[in-house]
Amino acid sequence: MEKYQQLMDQLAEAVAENTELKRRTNLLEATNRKQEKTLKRERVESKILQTLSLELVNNLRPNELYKIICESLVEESGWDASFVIKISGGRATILAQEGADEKTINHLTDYLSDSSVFRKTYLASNAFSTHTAIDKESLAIRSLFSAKEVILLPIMHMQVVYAYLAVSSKQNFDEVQEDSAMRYMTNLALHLGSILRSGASYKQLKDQNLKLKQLDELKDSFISITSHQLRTPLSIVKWILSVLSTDKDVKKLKKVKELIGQAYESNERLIHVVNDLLNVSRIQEGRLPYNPLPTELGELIGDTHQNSQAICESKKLTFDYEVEENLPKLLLDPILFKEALQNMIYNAIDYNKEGGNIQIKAYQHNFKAYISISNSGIGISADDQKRIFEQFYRAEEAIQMQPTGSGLGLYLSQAVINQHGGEIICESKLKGNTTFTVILPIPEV
Amino acid sequence: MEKKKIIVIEDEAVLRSLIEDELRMSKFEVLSAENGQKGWELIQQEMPDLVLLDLLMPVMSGYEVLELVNSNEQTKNIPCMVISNSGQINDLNRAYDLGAKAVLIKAEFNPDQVVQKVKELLKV
Repeated sequence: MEKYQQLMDQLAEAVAENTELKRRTNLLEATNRKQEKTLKRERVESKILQTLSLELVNNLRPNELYKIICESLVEESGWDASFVIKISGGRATILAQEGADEKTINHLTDYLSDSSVFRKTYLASNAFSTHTAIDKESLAIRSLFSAKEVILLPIMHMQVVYAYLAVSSKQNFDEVQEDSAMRYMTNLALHLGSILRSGASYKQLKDQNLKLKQLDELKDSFISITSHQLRTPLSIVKWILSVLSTDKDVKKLKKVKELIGQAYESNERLIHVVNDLLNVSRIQEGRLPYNPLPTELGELIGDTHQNSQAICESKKLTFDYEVEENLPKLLLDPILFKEALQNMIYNAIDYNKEGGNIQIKAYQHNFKAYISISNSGIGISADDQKRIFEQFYRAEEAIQMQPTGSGLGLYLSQAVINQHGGEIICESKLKGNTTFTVILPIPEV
Repeated sequence: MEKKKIIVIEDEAVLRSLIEDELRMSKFEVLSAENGQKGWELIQQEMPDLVLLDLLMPVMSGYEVLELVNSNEQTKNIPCMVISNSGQINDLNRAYDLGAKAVLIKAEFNPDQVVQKVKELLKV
């Protein structure tokens, strides 16, 4: 009999334990389900935040953003109604809302401005939750919004309140729900505030950028127009003198022909100076129009040689050039590189002795291309060699020989060669020969 | 052999007459216009063998003329040569993109060199 009783007692205990376990399990399962729901909600909410922030950065009108947020909060986050409210000039205005019925909206419109609780909260930039507020205030807000739970949060950034975000629910919350809702809403409001702030600076930047672009275009057209305006009279003189110099009758008059030749040369130099000035202004603006093309160096040097024939003849200088066979094509901007080369050749011509010579050699060595321009000229002192590439710098000896030089030639040449990825080296000594060598990279095939 | 017909569109009177003279001396028949609008009308009327034109002109620019010539069925095969004083490579490239067969900078070429280039383009 005892054993039976024992067994029965044990069984009762086991059943009790089991019931207890079941109870605990049910509790745990319930908690688990709640947590899962919260987790799911949080996942959805963080996804909304992500989407919203992308849209928000592109969509910069505040009232439109507010509408999107209200819609999102009601449709996806499960709030019953959502509002964005702004107080300005003592009056409260609903900037956006979603989910509220006409009665509620009218009620809010009539009584928001007079609600001391709402105004107090707004002015203090505080967060407000009907769940945690004191009874009197909670009641006031709940009746204002016709809801069981309301959360109010400032949309602000660095002390600036843009507006208030309000969400309401017709169901009561428990601790867990209130906690998670509060966290999420705070996060969202903060996020909104900072996005609005960056939206404002983004708009500022966009406006600034537009202005800069317009200024840029103006500068571009200024250079275009200036170059056109300056070059037009220069080309007129050039063409007239060119036609005159080839005129049959003029050719017969030696003196006239000589004068015309000099006027032509002078005009050519002026054209060259105008080109230099335009390029210098472009360099300073960082907008040198660099368009490299595969170029045959021999042809280019041949052209510059051709262009300098007349002046060399008049100064009784000999000008030779030698280009290594099979020199690979280099990536050169046709207009700019020719200018750079021409400047150095003009220097070789200008600062030369009477009856002297000029030599150009082009060759390759150690995977680089070399172009050396030498003359039997007045030479450059070691000190001056350090400064001749400076804008407007001219050595004493150079000023004496050519009082009207601009001091821009080498500055420009160096800028152009650097742009091409190369460098210029100067070897010279006073009263002796001078050699300028341009070193350029050879493009890989 | 029939003379080749060239139309010159250039707003600078001196340059226009200088180039006309040079071309006539080289036995070309030359007609000219002082702006893009008149130039385009002349091109449609006369159907020349070559058009020599400036870019920056009043009323209608050289760019617009190039566009019109190249989009018109009848005129699109007429070679166009640009003579301009804009050294900006963007402007020059734009002219090429619009169908110019050659682009020369006035300040860099003598009239006889320009005529030489015309002869090259016409293969005479």
